[in-house]
Amino acid sequence: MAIDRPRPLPDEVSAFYWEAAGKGALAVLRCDECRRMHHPPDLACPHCGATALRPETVSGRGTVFAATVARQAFDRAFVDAVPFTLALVELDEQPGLKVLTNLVGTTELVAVGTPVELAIEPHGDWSLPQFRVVGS
Amino acid sequence: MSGLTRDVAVVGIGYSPIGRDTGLDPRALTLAACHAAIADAGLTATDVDGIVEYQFGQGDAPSATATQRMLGIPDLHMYNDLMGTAPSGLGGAMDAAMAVASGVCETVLVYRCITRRAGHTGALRPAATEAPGPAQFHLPYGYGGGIILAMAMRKQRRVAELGGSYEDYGQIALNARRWAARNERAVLRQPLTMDDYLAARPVADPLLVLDCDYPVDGACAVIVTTRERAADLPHRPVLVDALAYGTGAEPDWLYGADFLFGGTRPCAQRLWSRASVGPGDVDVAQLYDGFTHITISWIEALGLCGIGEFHDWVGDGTRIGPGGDQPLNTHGGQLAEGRLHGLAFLAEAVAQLRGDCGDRQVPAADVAVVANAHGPQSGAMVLIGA
Repeated sequence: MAIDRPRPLPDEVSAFYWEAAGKGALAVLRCDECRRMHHPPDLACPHCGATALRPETVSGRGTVFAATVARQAFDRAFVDAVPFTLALVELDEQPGLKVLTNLVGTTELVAVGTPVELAIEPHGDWSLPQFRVVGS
Repeated sequence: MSGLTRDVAVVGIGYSPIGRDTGLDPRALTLAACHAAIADAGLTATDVDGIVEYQFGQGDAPSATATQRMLGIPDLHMYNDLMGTAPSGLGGAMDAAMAVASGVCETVLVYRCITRRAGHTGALRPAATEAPGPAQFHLPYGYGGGIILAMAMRKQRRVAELGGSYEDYGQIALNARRWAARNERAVLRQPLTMDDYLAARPVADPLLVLDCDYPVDGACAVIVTTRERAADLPHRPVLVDALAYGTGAEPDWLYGADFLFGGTRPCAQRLWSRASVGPGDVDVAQLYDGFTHITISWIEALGLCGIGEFHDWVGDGTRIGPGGDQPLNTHGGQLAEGRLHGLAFLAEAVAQLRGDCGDRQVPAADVAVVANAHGPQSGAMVLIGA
């Protein structure tokens, strides 16, 4: 689907995330104190409140935590893209660590627990982390 | 002891006209509901010394002080405009109860006004070209429409994780119409079959349009005062027995730690720990139904049945309908009365505990539980007829 997607605007907290995506990787913040990761990136750890955080590249492997197939668009940029899938992917690195994505290459409702992998989607000078079903 | 605790009662309820297009300005809707609630309480506008309202901040409702001005109230002891991150319209009544209990106010007016013209979150928005702030992780994926897509994902996840079926969600939708047939205010009063429900237009699989509440123009208002004052007013006083908020850990509609229940479970635990009654004492339950998933979450979180037991508990839906042993959303909820955004669940609970509900009156209703919203903005209240 050729979608003129809204362009993410990196900020001081999220710059690492989009830089990693530009290099074909997925990165999340890990807390120096409690060692847990979180997403989306914030100024402090949502698990313990510590502010010493550093980006870490993850494997890009995970499973579908929950999914949906949008039958209508909520932003005009996506009117011609329906139906399209959205999912929360639970990353293999940490239970409960979830990222939002489209599931590329399918318009089916993909079952909870299905293994997925990172599929970076280039958009000129920026890249969007996406996921696809493993083996698809 | 400072004595910052007084018993609190809900003594007035009021509604504006409700409809798909009333042609009425949000100020007119608000004023109609507020006048009705003040009159119902047997009070006059100048008895009001506090106003709280809830809004999305899209020009859908006049501010608390704009309404004060329309009512000719010379001064307010407390006022608050709650944002769309609060526990929906009930959040205003919770603030009001705390203001009265603390002695900051004697009598507080609470309202929620909502119109379709002001724009509702499910509407198609203009094409975004840039995604700043939190939206940078959402908009590039086509995630919009408020919490619609998050609720679609919850419906899939719940059945996968806890069992049951999508028909369970249909029981909430069918129940709304059964009760709405007995409520002249309700906008959708025709009965619904499970086949109708399952054949409804999909919005975002597996979410159907009949899992979503029905947008209308309208306003609802309530009056909160002291138990002492309530004793001199026309209706049976309805006491606020307990109230509680909840958010859950890592509060967020998508990324929160408890995806299926959000803040409903800690909120419910806190509520019952403060209440003089328990879940087995509830005569009537008024539980938010902006989406059917929310109602099921509250039923389980509040312990009306166990977690994951809704499917077996609800059966064919008889028990939550008229004549059932656990009457639920007796006005038809937002799925059928129309989306008044939270406060009408409280107003209906008050009407039931007064015994004023006519064809839909639950016999000997003395204890009600009311809950609003879900996820990071959960709130609930126990009410008892005095």
